[in-house]
This record gives sequence, structure tokens and C-alpha cells, in this order.
Amino acid sequence: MPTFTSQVFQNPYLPRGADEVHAIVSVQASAAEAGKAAPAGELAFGLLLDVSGSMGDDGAERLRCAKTAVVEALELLREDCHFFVVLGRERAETLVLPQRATAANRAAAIQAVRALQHGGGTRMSTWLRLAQQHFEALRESRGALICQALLLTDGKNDGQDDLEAALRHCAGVFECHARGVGVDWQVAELRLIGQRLLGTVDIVPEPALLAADFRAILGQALERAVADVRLRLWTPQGASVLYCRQVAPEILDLAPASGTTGQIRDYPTGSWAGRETRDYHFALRVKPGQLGQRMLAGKVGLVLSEAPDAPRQAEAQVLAIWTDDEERTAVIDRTVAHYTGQGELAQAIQEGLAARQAGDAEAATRKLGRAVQLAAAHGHDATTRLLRRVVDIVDEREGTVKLRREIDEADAMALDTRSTRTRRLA
Amino acid sequence: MPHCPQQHWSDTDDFCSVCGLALEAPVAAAAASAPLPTPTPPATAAGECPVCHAPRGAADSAYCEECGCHFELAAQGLASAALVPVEPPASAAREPAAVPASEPVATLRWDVEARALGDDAPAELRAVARVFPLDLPDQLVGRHSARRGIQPEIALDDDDGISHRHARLRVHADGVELIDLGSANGTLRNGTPVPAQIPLALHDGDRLQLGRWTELLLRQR
Repeated sequence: MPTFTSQVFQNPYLPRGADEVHAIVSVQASAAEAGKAAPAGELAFGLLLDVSGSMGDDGAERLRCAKTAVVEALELLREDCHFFVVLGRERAETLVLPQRATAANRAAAIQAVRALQHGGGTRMSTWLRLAQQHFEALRESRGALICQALLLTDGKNDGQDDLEAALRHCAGVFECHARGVGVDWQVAELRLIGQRLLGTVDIVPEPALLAADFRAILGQALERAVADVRLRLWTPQGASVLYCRQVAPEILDLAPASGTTGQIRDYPTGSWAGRETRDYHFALRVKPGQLGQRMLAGKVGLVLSEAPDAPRQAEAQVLAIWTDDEERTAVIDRTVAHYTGQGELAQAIQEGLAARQAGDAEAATRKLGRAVQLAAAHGHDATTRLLRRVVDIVDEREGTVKLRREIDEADAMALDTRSTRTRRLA
Repeated sequence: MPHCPQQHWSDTDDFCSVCGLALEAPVAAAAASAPLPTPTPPATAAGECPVCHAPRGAADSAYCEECGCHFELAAQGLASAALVPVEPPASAAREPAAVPASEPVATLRWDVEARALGDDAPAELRAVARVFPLDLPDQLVGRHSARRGIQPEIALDDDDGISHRHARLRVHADGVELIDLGSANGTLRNGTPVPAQIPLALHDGDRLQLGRWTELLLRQR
């Protein structure tokens, strides 16, 4: 089990009458014993593979590469892991039932994957619901497991698909990484899956790149050391939470677990590796205090179970101190400002690309220009590189850009999906 | 039992577990109500501020009018670390003070153009550029404060991320130099933060970013 530590970044000084408190809480997991990595937890891994008709287009290259990628991922599994494979069409079908990843079981699964055929539609909600049933059955028989899934699609949902309802059922049961191959899928759909099921989202523009991507996902899943970590937030009576947002390594809005309201709220953050750091932005509204008063606006700790008396680790205090000393209240905390800027950058990119899709060139130029300016100001070179493929930059500091006439759709989608990745302050 | 100002029953002893207000232990409360020790009388006004080297103002003031530091504490090295420069190069720090104010200024003439950049800036300000000539040997960049009697020559009142006494721009025969007066949010020169209280030579075309969205462009006329 890793140990957790936390650090708070904020300017606690508020002017008279102010009621909004902003703080970045940085949480770090590290090995309990120095120099020794925390042992990995027991992993259950589900592969949700799109085998709809479109996967067979263009000489079935996508399906062939996807099969290779799945086979390579299965070969990485340790013997103590559990796994299953679900095939996705307009209905979901289990290709490999949940089982231990013994050499014999993996060989049989690989053979089944090699033999599968494409054909049919796309309805991701059914794939997710079937995976949920498999994970729940595994948990019933095996107890606490780290449940991770990988969903691969190349298209968008057919017609009416109640993805929202399916995600409500799956949240808290497993985490899901979503990948789109090619350019015919919808960023919004996969982003919704990633946001609700606490996983990553990315584009794989070329089918040949799938294998490397799957290996990377499985590699980080195998490193997970502890399941179901929750942020437990205490706020004073009468306070409200404006938002709680993970801001690094990716922007992810967190929703409180159902049934936790009032002074104590739990925010599930999924499973953690033995060594990693995540940053959270808390925006709280409190009753304004008298000048000179000091108040605890929030207390954040980590718990490993939903029990109300679960021991809290790495507790951090968010303070509010009212003063009329302008030199103190005017200070903008560097870390809060950094992540506020990164949030604005992601929003500018998403809105700019949406405007471009809608044919509003003026708005797209303005928003993407602002994105270029913000990316430069924050030293976000990876994003600047992606932006260069969509706009011609005239003046980076002024944010003057020209929309490119011919854009590779894969570049626009890569910019969109990766807009939520943030940089940490050095 | 710790005492909550709102009379709540708290089960924690640093902040009230109901309303979050800081709790005062009875002993601390008694100490707080005791008369404050009389402050040591300030030193006479002779000389200059040990932190920013500005001439001392009124004889009865304990604080520097320029950077706000407390003379006695600063002299003892107890002033907040942010206000005290880490080893300013002695020659650089004292050179401006050595320039007498009566010296004829400027064979070169300078001005700064203030602009509002970015989405945070009010739209009506983004369209305009304000030009401030650097006609004096020394001008304050900041915001007006009637209460504190601050009247900056380069007044940027719209941007509340700028400190009232933010920085000085000093003009010499051979150029302009910037001294950030320990402003709350700092100053960037061409994107790089400048150290507080240390004079920094500027060049034609340098851009200074300060506050939420203000940029000053230095130009030779």
C-alpha cells in the first residue's frame, strides 16, 4: 500500500465580504518504504473491442491491427490477473469469459481473438453494461480488485443510445480508458466515457499504432497499487462546493459520490499507482467572516473506503482569512493561476474547434488565437505543436492566427482529445 | 474545552468542526487581551531604506513609503523574505541612489505604451493604447489610492492585479531602469519574472507584463 502526502497552494487572504475560496491540493502517492515500489494490486482487465462492419473497411486493416494489439496486451498480463474480452456491435457479446490469466487461458483467448469476424453496428452502452456485469461478478467472487477496462471504437453510436444511463451504472464499478481509431468517431462520446469512468481518452490516428498504445495502457494498469481512493472533503456549515476538479495530469471534473452531501462529501478518484501525483482544484463558497477572522474553509483527506469512519490520510487544510490589507488579498497564488490558465486553454481549444465545425470562422480564429497565446504563456509546447497543424501562427504573443484551409481531421481530433492534458508547474 | 466564537460544540481543537472558525484556547485568549508591548521608537529619518534604498520620508514613520517595509525589522533582517532581495549586487543596487535628482535628464527621450491584452481585459480597453512619456528622472508605476495618498505618474487603475506601489521607472542619460517594489503579483520582462528591489536596465522595445492583463512597451522617441 502506498502512503499519501498532500500539499495546499492558495492565498488564504480574502478582502472584506469575499466568499469564494480557491485552492490547489496536490496529492502524492509514494512507496511506504523508501526505495521499494508498493506492490501492485490484484488486477481485473476488460477489453471492449469494436468489431462493427466499419472495422473491416479498407481491406480490414483496422481489425487486423486491433487483433494484433489485443494479442500483445493479453501477453503482458501476469498470471495473477483476471481478464475478459467483450465484442462490440449493436449488441455486446462475450468472446472470453472472466478468468485467470494463466498461460493456457491466454493462449485460448488469443486464438479466439485471431478468429473473430467483423460486421454489425455500434452501441457502446451495451458493451459497457456487459463489462459492468463481468466486473461485478468478479468482485463478488474475488473481493476487492482493481477493475480497469479499455474500450476501442472506430465509429459513433448508432441512433439513440443511452450512454448516460449506462455510465451511471458503471461509475464506481470499473475505470475505462477510451480509444478512437481513425477519424469517424466522436470526441464527445469518448470524452464522456473517460470523464465518468475516470479513464484517459485519446485518438489513435493510424491502426498500426494501436499495439503500442494498448501496451502502454496495460503497463500503467499493471502498476496500479490501490483501488477506489476517495477524496473526502469537509466544509463548514452553510458552505457550498462550486466545483472539485482534477487539474493534473488531466482536467477531470469530479462528481461527489451519491449519498454524500452536507458537510462531508466523497469524490471517487479511482485507482492509484504506487508512485504518482495528482492535483485538485477546490472552489468553495463560505459565509464571509469578520475582518481578522480565520476560518477553516475546507479539509481534504484521502480515504480508502466509503465507511464514514475510514481513517483519513494526507489531510490538508484550506483556509480563509479576512483582512483589509490589500497587499495580501491582491496576491494571486501562482499554482492556482497556472491551473486556471490551463483550464482556460482547454476551453479555448474546444470552443474554437466547435466553432470551426459549425463553420464560424471568425469565432474559431479568435478562440484558437487565444489558445495559441495561452499555450505560449504557459510553456505548453506539446499543445502549441498540435495547434500549429490546425492554424498558421502569425504572432504567438498576440494570439494572431489564420485558420488553415486544409486540415487533416485527425489533427483536429488529436488537438481536441488532448486539450485536457495539463502541465505541472516546475 | 476550546472556545468557538459562535458557541458551537467542536470535536476538533484547531478549527470549529461546525462552522470552521478558528478556535482560541482560553490561555491564548487571555494573552490576546493583554496590552500590546509598546513598540520601539523608530530610528530618526536620516539615511535611506535598508531594503529599497529610497530616501526616508517623515521622521516619525516606522515604515518605508516606497516598499512598505518596517525599518527596524528590515534592519534586523526579520522582514519577510519576499521584501528582502537575496544579496543584491552592491554596485547595481546603490548606483541609482547615487544619481542626484537635479542632474539634467535624458539625452534620449523615452515613453511607455500601456495596453490591455487577453480575454480577461475589458473589451473597451483592449482597443486603446495609452502613452505615458517618461519626462521625470523617476516615475512610479501603480494605482491611485486616496486613502494611502498614492499618486503614481503611470497610473494603471483599471487593472486590480497591479499593486498601488508596483514599480519605478528611472531615466538616466544612457537608459531606463526598472525596480519592482516588491509588488504582490510581480513583474515580467519579456516573459521572465524580474527580482524585486533590484534595478534592472531596460532596452528599447522591452515589454513589461504586470497585473492581470497589462503590458507596458518601452520605446525610444
